[in-house]
Amino acid sequence: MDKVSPQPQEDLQRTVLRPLTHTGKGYYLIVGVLLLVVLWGVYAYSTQLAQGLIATGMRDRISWGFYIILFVFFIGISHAGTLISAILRVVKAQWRTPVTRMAEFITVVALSVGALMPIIDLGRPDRVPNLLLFGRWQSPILWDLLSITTYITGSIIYLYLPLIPDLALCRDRLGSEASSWKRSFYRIASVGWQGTPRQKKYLSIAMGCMMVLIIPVAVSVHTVVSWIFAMTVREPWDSTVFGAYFVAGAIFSGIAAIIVVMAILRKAFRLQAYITEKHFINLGYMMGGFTLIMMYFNISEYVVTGYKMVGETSFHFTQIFVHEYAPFFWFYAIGGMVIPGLIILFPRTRTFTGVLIAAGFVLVGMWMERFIIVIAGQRVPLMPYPPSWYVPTWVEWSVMAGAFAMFGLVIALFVKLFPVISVWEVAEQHAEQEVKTALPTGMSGQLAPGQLRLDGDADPASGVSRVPGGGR
Amino acid sequence: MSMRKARWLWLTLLPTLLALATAAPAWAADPVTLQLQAPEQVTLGEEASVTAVLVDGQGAPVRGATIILWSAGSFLSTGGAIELGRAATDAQGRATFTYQARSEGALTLNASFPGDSRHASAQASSEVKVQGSFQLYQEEAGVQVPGITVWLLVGLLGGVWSTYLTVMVLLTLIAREGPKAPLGAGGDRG
Repeated sequence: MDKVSPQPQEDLQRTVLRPLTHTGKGYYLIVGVLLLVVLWGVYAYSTQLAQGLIATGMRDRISWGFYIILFVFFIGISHAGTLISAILRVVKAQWRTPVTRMAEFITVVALSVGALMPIIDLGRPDRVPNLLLFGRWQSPILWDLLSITTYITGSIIYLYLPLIPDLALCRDRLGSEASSWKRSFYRIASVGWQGTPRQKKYLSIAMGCMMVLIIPVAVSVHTVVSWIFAMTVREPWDSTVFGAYFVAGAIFSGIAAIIVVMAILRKAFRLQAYITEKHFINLGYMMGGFTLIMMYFNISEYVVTGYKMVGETSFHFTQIFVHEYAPFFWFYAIGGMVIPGLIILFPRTRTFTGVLIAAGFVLVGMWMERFIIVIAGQRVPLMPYPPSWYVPTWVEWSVMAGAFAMFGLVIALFVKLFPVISVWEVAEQHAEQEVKTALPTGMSGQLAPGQLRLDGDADPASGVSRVPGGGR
Repeated sequence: MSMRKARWLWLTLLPTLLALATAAPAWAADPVTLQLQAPEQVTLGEEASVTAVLVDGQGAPVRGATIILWSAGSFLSTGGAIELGRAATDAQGRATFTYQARSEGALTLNASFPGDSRHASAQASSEVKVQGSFQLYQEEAGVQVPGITVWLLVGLLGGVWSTYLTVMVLLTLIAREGPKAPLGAGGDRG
């Protein structure tokens, strides 16, 4: 496996900062296409606003469709970022540094797109304020609103804090290469970062608080999302493990999203020296672990409810295992869990390409899983009426395409404004490795890992600027 | 009579005849009188008896007629009639309803008879004053666990947002340190 590239700090900065000032034709083409799809989605939504929800395939018996599926899907992906980044930071995983920034980007973008979905799902979005004005604190819908608002705020702070030293780097390094508004932006956003010991101390405390706090906040968000379903009187959602199942599924799909986005950005910005196969394989191991957790949850859920087979369980099992929704379920089970698990299991397929393919399977499989939960769950009749159907209209397909395009578009815009790799963290890690290499065997263990992080005590002879905003 | 005149006569007469044919049953229907008897004052949450009496033009009770009890209601920007109940009149022409007042203040109760093949429609209303501040929503179904209240949620959220605020304060401290730092304070400003 590859090691972190020992290229000098200068090369790292040049490579990472280059996309901020140089834009190729391909970038404009991609942004243009994404923008067109987003605009098409906006047009479709305007049609829905004008005609009402009759323009969608949602009706009284199946009243949640693509929008709620996308809501759960995007909120799930958002967990990747913050949870994985925070967990890797908390456990001080050495390989995390090139991954965390992208993971945090994904969180904020996915959360923003996902949070729009319940509003789009409303026939009268102008009534959203009523949720706060007339909401009841006993309602999971209100918990959802509060937890998502709290999470999105925390995620933005958590993305911003480690960005400060890199924004200072942009402020100091880009100079006339950047446009005047970008220079102003970097100057303001870097909050006067000079890399002084006090600033480092404050930043270290702030990041420490956020990395610990964001984990329970993220877990609570997807738990509450699951409660929207589990606390509704519907037989297929009547499960006490839904919270843990949703959180595990969120992290699972989130890891897959990081892998795919990271592979695209790695290729687009030629970051192969910093984002190596090792990073993909390590994320692949995490994803492989979660395939087992997801399998466990599925088996536990279906065996227990199937053994009792009370109420409408037989109807639900029939529709998802052998009839209407069987293709969705079995793709999710085999394509979304078994195949990715096998790809990660065998060393021959456990490669960059293999992990990327597995991540693609996981993302599609997890979308199917949300489809089964939302649509098949509602199809089970509550009363003795014939089961209904949900057939999405062009409006819903278009809004879904627009949502995915918006996800890509915002990431594309982010990467032109912010460094996609945390330069100062990679530099610190590099310095840490060099110090350990320079010390005689057995002495490296005497170093406190945290000492090298933001306190500026690393070996000055290493030639690596550890001070964010410095190295100019 | 010329053909032209005859055609105009038909064009005038035909709608008139059609209108008369349509309205004829209503003209033919007997007029009725509907009265609504409700207590002047009721207590919020308690059940009250409301009676509607339907008599025909000769003062004879109308039996088997459906009476609808309703009140006007509005929610946010939507308004309309809220049906409170339906009952058929008995041999004395009386339809009795049991009504539970659910909001304090002045309430107008309305009774409507939509009419039938023999009787015309009728409507009556009555003013009722609803007093009291009784909480109609009762959490009898759940188990009261001490401490599980809205304040727990407020406390949890407050803790998280306080941490955010602390981080914001740290950010301002970082910003304040910036201008103070001498050039090269970071050690690597070469």
